[in-house]
Amino acid sequence: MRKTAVGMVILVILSLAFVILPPFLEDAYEVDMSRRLSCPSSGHPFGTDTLGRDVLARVVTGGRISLSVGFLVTLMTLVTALPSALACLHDGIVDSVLMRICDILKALPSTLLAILLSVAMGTGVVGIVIALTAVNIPQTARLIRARARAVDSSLFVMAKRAMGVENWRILTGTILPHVLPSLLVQCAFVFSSSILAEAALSFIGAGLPAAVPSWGGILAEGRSVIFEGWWLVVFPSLFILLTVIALNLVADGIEER
Amino acid sequence: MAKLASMLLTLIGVSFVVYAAITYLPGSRAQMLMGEAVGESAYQRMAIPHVGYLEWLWRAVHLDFGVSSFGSQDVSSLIAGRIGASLLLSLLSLALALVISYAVVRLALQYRNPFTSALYETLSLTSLSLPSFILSLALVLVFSVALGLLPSGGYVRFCDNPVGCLASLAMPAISLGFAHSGLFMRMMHSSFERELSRPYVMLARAKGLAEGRVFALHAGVNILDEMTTLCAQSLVTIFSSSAAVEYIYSIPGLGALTVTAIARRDMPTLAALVMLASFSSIVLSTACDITMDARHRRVGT
Repeated sequence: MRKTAVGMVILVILSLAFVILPPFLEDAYEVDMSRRLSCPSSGHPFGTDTLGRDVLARVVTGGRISLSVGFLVTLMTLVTALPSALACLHDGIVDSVLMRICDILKALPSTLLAILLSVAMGTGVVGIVIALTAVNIPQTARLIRARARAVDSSLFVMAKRAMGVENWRILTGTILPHVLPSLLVQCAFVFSSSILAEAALSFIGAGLPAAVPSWGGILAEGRSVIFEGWWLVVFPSLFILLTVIALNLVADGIEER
Repeated sequence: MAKLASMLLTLIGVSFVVYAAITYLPGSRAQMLMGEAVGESAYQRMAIPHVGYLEWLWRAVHLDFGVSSFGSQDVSSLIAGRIGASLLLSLLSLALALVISYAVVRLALQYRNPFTSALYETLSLTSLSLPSFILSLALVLVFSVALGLLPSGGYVRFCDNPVGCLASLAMPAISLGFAHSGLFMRMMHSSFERELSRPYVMLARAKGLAEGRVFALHAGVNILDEMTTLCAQSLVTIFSSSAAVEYIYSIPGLGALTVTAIARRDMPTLAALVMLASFSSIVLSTACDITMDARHRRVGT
């Protein structure tokens, strides 16, 4: 439980910072070649990049985008995977068809599938959110289905059935609360893995366009000037790590409970 | 036989998904490469000729994925020339991941004290949170930029100079290996803990066997099944997610090819890479299942 609390506090501070800070910082898009690649200083705490843009402003704006992508992917995965998993509660055509589709999607290596989808849709926020959602659905659906089926065959659900409680009541009142902990862990996992995947995809050019500030994009720029500008690599990396560690702490905490 | 049939079905499904992705999704490659200011006729000249699904599948089965839409080179020869470096890197990384996690888990379970368990907790959480490409950048910063010990990139072919080849793969393999060791650590920890509380381990210890033998031979054999499955999955994951790492260290493997293909919106190459990775993933997991079945039949369980 302590782990969950620590993780949540870090996450709340980070997201508040990303929402509140931008008006007080420089414009993340403002180019000024006269100050390109200047070291971290009091004016630019994180230094400037190859076009003289303020790295702090870009990291904060990028964080906002990364967290939004992670949140949207988690939400969309949940909205698609939960109903399909519950539809598979009992054996039948729906179950076998949906699970076959899951098998096929699971056989595709997730990184490559995300790259293929994102590039095929023209790289952008919409493309990347859809690509990452498609990658996360199969595992999430399978997990919820397995948990829900385990609860469904337990004695207390049988007792409720025998008492004549309606099906949807059992579903929402009994099965869902029991599935909730593993659902939350899975959500934290999807959140953190999609933030990582977005950074990795933007890093190799399959994510957000280079003009949009994103953690992966700043890192890609930093890679090309790694001998001159260490700050372009260090600061976005620290923020990615902090976010992902916070999410993993939340998941670990719920799991241990 | 049933396994082979389901393997075939999955492969057909995979091919359909890949075909649909490259054919029906809206991103226009020509527009991306030439900008908005060109007439419609120019777009059409750039467009890849449309191929029906069955024809595409038939060609794919014969390893003909068409011509790379840039540089007009054959996709399959492009891949064949680069697969060696990637395969070597993936195998090295997998071996490193296994060694790291075995060492950490054995320390934590053999000498149970606050220090070793904290070491296990910290390393597994870091490994699960630290993506391989960030670790790669950090290693370059420390060992190439600050200390100047190792080259920041480049690749020596194994046949030319085995030692130089391993030296050039050291940093990429460490990054990929450490990033994937977290899963192994968690899995090995829970499996070993379960096995160590069983009576046969107590017997082995009572016989006075060295802890090393108890771990590696007695408990190790009993967690072989889950470890084999995890190894097979991880090998495919490492193999298909090494793009960023290969790009950082400029290793001429399939990952670097992926990055080039992305920059050029080269759909035939991307499709071929996805098909190759899915094919190996499906074949490996089926092979895993079959060998495990054979082993269980021999043991009689």
